[in-house]
Amino acid sequence: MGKEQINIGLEIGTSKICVVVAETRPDGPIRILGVGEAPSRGVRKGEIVDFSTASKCVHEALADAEEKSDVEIRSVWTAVTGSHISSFNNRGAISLPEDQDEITEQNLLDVEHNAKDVTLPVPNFIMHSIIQHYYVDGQPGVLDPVGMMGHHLEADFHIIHGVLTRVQNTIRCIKEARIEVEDVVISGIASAQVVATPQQKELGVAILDIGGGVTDYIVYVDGAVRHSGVLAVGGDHITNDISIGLRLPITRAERLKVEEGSVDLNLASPGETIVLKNDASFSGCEVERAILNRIIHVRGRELLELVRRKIETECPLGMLGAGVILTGGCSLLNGIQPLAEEVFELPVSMARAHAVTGPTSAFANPQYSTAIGLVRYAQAVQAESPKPSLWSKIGGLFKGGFKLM
Amino acid sequence: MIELPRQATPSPTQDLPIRAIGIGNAGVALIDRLLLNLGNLVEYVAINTDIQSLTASVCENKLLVGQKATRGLGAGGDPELATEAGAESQADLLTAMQGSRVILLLGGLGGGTASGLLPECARMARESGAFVVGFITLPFSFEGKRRQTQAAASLAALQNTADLVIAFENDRMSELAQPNGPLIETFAESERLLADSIRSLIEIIRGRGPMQITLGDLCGYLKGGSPLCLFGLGEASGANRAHEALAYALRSPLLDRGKNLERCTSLLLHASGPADLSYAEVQIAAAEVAKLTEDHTRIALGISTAAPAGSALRITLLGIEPGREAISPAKPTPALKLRQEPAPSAPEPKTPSALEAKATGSESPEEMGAADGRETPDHETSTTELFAPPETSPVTRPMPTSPSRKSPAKIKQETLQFEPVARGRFEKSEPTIIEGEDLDVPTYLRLKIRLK
Repeated sequence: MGKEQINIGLEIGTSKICVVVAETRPDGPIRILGVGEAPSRGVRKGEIVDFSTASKCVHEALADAEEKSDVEIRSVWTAVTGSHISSFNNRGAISLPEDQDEITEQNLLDVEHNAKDVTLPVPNFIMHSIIQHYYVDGQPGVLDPVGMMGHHLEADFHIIHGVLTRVQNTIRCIKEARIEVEDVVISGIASAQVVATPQQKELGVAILDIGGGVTDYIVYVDGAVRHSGVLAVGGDHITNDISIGLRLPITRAERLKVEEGSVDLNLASPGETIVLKNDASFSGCEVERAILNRIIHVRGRELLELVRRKIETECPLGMLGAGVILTGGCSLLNGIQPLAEEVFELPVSMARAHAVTGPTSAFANPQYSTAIGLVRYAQAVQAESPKPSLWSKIGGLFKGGFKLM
Repeated sequence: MIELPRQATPSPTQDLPIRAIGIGNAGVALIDRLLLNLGNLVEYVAINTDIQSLTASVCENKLLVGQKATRGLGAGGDPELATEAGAESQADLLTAMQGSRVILLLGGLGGGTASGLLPECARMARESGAFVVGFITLPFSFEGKRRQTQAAASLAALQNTADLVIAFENDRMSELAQPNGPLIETFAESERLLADSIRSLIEIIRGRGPMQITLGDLCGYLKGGSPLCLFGLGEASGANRAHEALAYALRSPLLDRGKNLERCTSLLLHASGPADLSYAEVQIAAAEVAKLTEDHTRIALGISTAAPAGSALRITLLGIEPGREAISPAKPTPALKLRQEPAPSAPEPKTPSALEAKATGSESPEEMGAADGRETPDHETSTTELFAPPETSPVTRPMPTSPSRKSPAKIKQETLQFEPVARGRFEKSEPTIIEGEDLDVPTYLRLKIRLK
């Protein structure tokens, strides 16, 4: 049994900022101690556009989390997303020296280095390089070649890169609150840590995290990341469509979407209306349910079809034996599951965080899956590193391929 | 001091001789600006009643008009005095207006010189067979009612005499600069926008590429409507250059983020870039413009790929807007009317050849005769091919009546609501363009699904 450790996941989302404080052991489940939350302002499409406002919101969320978990927060793991993030698969290859025929750890590092040696756009840097599988002397599908005999080592890596300055902005925003950042993780990878089981990843699964500003998707086949990406379309777009289509203020459109909205076209009986009560800034009105649902339906369908096309470019849908998992705040939208099944022609399930316990039922809420996933990611990184010391933390930084400043 | 171009000397590299003539203080300032920005792309002439402004100008060809009438002190904001000055120096003016296929007349209406001289100069230039484009600015509203009235009267007259009038409202131009910035900067910005639009127009008619816009097209698309032109110019390079260049072009204060495009009766979209300009990029720009305009808008698309490799993609939008009450001539003062009518009608019966004879007669006959003898037949024949023959009495050309101008605006009422707010809260954020679609625009709008 390893030593217990407190890990904190902080997600700066487009609609809310979420902090999960959890206790982890290298080999046990995650125990959530508390969840802090604050509405997010100054964030558009997953990225900070108003630095000082966003920074204040981060502070609020952290204060809320400290109060609820009774833990003093010093450092966090954080997630980044945004349209600047993209990915590709690349193969690295090395030949072992003449006098060596057993593959060592060093050879794995060398082949990874080789796979990462690609030309990226100038402002970009590699955030994650994830091993898919190795080839030893042409034999495919090797998962751990250390100790195997061979002369020629190849490896397929999934490489995710983004614009350095945009990622640094997120870090700076957290540092404003005098909190250290342990590492940054792509949102899609973070949520995949908890919503899909290893068995599902083995069978093949696509995870769609439909958030407020962006939709992150990640595809696992044979237990390895096959494809990932970010579409800068999310729940905000639905709200915006409603606001324009029904001529409502944004805040009312958001409430209407959450309380009454559905992607199901058959839900509304002809002529059925929803009465919006008046308040201080809004003189009430009536909207037709059929129109509301049609606006949401066309946007939802378009988004899902877009993701389907993106996934299909890298991986035939038939390979996804475990189907599709929906998470993120927008997966709470009424009727989205059947719609996704119709679009993907695959079984679609709603996310729930696996291997998580705690006094709160936070893990049942798909809005928290990224933040919980961050804790899980932290746990995995710590389990890999031999000594849980300061050095492992620094090691973790390098492991994630990220160097601060 | 006063020097006239003895002969039009188009440089051999330029196939289409264009002359830019600045009239009045604003016009001369614009000529200076153009000289700095464009170099020797076109010929320049500066005309003014104010000797100071001419002395300060860097233009080589200067013409001081009305030495007796104004004693070189300027028209003092009085168009009547300027018309008098023009009549006095009519011979010089005629010479200046001759010998070029395209004449751009620049000036700021509202003051004396430009308001008084522009319509008359346009008529002279047109009678000499040139295609006349008036590039004018309308005064700021804070400059007072009188200047507005003078500008409106002069604009109406200019519309009758020039082939094409492109008018810019200074009020809108002011949005270009910081509201609290120095006034001089506001004027400079407005000058720059005008210079840009002139440069674009020159490039459009001279441009080479798979889809050229000739002077004939320009006439067909932009002629005959209202004078109010909407102009936007955007430049961008990089992967997303078509979208970005168009976004910049739409950001022009005259277009008001593209909202004003839907009022256009006709629109010219010109893309000019290096040879690697792709079909998809042109398609993106054209599709986005089509979204912003009404179905009945006539859109002319021009593409020029002559720019040097590596240069930015430049997109120009030039639209004709139906007239609005604020600008349409608001009851010119009777005094102005009286002065204007006899002035244009005086030289009217004369044929172009008679006018030429007069012009050459007043100047040194040998040189001018030689120059004109070579030039005149050339451009007369070519203009008749290109354009409809000039109307015999331009002053009597029927003005579009105001009800007919308003009618296209009425038809639009139904769909008008959606366009301006199409991107809603994402108006200012980075656009999400995937597979050629702007995903920030509501899906139902893009799919053209009717909600009711």
